[in-house]
Amino acid sequence: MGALREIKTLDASDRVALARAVLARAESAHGTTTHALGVPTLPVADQIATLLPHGGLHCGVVTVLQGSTALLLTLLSRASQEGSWCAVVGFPEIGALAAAEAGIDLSRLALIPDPGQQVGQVLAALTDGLDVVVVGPQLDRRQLRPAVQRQIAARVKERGVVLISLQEWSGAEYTLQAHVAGWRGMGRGYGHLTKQDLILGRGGRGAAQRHISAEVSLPLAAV
Amino acid sequence: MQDERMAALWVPDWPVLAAMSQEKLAAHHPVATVNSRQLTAISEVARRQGVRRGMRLRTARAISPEVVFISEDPLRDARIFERVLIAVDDVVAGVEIVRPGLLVFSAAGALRHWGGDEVLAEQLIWAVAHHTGWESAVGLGEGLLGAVSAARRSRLIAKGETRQFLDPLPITELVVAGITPAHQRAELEQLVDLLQRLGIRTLGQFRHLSDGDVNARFGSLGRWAHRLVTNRLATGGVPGTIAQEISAHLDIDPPAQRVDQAAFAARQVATELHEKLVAAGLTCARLQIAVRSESGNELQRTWRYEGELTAREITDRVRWQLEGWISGRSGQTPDAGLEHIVLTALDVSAGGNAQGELWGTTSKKDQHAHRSLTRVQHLLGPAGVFRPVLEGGRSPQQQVRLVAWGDDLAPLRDPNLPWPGRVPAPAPTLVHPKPIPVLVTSAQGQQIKISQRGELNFEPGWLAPRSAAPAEKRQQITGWAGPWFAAERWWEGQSPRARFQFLLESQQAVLVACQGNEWVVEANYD
Repeated sequence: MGALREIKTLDASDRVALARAVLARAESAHGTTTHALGVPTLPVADQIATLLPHGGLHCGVVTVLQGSTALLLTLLSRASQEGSWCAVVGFPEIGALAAAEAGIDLSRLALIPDPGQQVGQVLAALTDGLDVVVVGPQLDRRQLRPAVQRQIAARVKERGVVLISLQEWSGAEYTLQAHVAGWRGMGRGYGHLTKQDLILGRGGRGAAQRHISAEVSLPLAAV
Repeated sequence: MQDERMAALWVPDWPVLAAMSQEKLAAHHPVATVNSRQLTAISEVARRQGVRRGMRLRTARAISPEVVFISEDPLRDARIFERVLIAVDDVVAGVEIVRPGLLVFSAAGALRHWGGDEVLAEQLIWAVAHHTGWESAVGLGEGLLGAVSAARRSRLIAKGETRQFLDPLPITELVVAGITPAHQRAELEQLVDLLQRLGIRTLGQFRHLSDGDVNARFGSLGRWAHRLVTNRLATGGVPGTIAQEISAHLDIDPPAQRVDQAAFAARQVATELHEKLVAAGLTCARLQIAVRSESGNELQRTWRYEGELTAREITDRVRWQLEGWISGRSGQTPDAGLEHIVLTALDVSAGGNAQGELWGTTSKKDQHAHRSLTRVQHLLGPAGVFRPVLEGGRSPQQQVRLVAWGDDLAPLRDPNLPWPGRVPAPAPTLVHPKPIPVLVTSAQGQQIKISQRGELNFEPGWLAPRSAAPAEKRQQITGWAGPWFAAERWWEGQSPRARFQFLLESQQAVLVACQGNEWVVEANYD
């Protein structure tokens, strides 16, 4: 209780320093580390950076994203512009024009609409050489058994790849859930769709455990 | 070996002749091949009407409205050139293809066999004319440039006189001879332009520059040009040539009978050869392509290559050659599928600093991605990995084309043209490969139709999937926009297509198209 009273008398920066010190002590006691500093990430657009646990796409872990393809494209765009290669597996419907509009460099976007019976091998090969791998909704669930998922997650971790799954993935580090709140720009018989408002929820394990929700309007470029 | 006599056979305006042959156009038509910007080759008839290479389409049309334009196609050029090669095979052996339309060979053996310059030239021209109907020109001279320049003037240059022949020629001959691959042509034009501005106007003047000066001032292309002019290119016996053979083999299983299978195989084997060359720090001046068919027949051709040899360049040549054989236009169709390819790099020499990166890319990251995607393609077959290319068009399906991994990414239709009737951005994020048929009705349940003028008989109220029971899954339309009209192919009797955006009660937004009474969902905004 004494410590609490002490905090009240400190200014903001001292409080942060104190919090860090407490955290460091707790970490050394348990032999674990938080990834708060020095986590390898791929950059994302500034407007959505705050939604992600480390301000970017966390390399080496699996992120589940559900509810919005536009959000997927927005997440990939900045990394793609800066030279990352993305592969989208099992998602034949993905709109490449929308991807280009979101800012993805199509020359570094590979699409594998139907990996057939070789999901495991294909994903393994992709995690070897690409920076971002997206597991699409059309991928055969029976091919993606928990054992396969674990193997792939291990590879993802080893190679420092960003894996975004649009379907459930046991043991995913983060989950992002998007929900369309509404569309702008259109009436009854006039205008056209310009922008959608999304409500995002974030959950997950570890550092992401803090559940947050936020609003974002996509595409970011639209007025 | 420096003063070895070479012979060249040149078929003028080859791209146009190949195009005319494929399109079955008679010789009196003025024809030009075009790319997206300009005329790339023109026929003699068109030339007489005042049309010139490099003109814009519009200018050419203004000069001569009859000119038939055909888009250029390196594949077609190579495929049809196979016929000339077969004709030439009757007269001489061991020809090398510089590019479709131009071939060279070492003249010594052929001259011994035929007994004289004129006889050899006559035999060649006759063979080509007799078997294919095309006119060609033959030249003899020392070195590659000597032979090619002689062929362009139909000259048979006596031994030891090539220098006197080449020296007074304008420096632009370097470009006109067309020995460099197409993609280096612009660079070479710049070099020639620079030389001219420096007062070097003839090949002779350029030849007299010292090696050191050329190396220091004109870069790798300048060095190459200087070697070409001084006849010191890497063919047998030149200092720096390495007596070594590098080759790549591939068993094709199952044997390739279709062109796309062959193209896939071509890429694999070309990449392998290129990797070997790069690993050894070498480059080659000639590429020998040999295949064996299931029945044991063997075919073989040699391509001569000047300039930077990239994996892409190797692939192109292998693919052209395989397609030439498989498509059967060559008249020498393999009787069965191709089961084995051997690529051999000939005239191997140390690769200079000009060695291109794999696939023309630069970063390590790109190379890793390429390797990985190529592996996935090996797992899934040629139609397993794609890259999207934006195309011109109105529907979301039209606006994107998937190109198999490793193929050319150039769009077929210019996406930057206005395309009236295109639905404004943002584009839908989910595009259904096959549009989903739906029923659209008014709030009261009447079917909605569109008049020829684009007016709706009722306001859209409900959207229901066509297959399921209508009442079950139907959704209320809470907002709508459109129509965007696309009157396409009306000359074929297609009725205009109108597109709408619907916002449904579930907050789903969809792009629907209506043609006649048929409604389909083309895409979702997700």
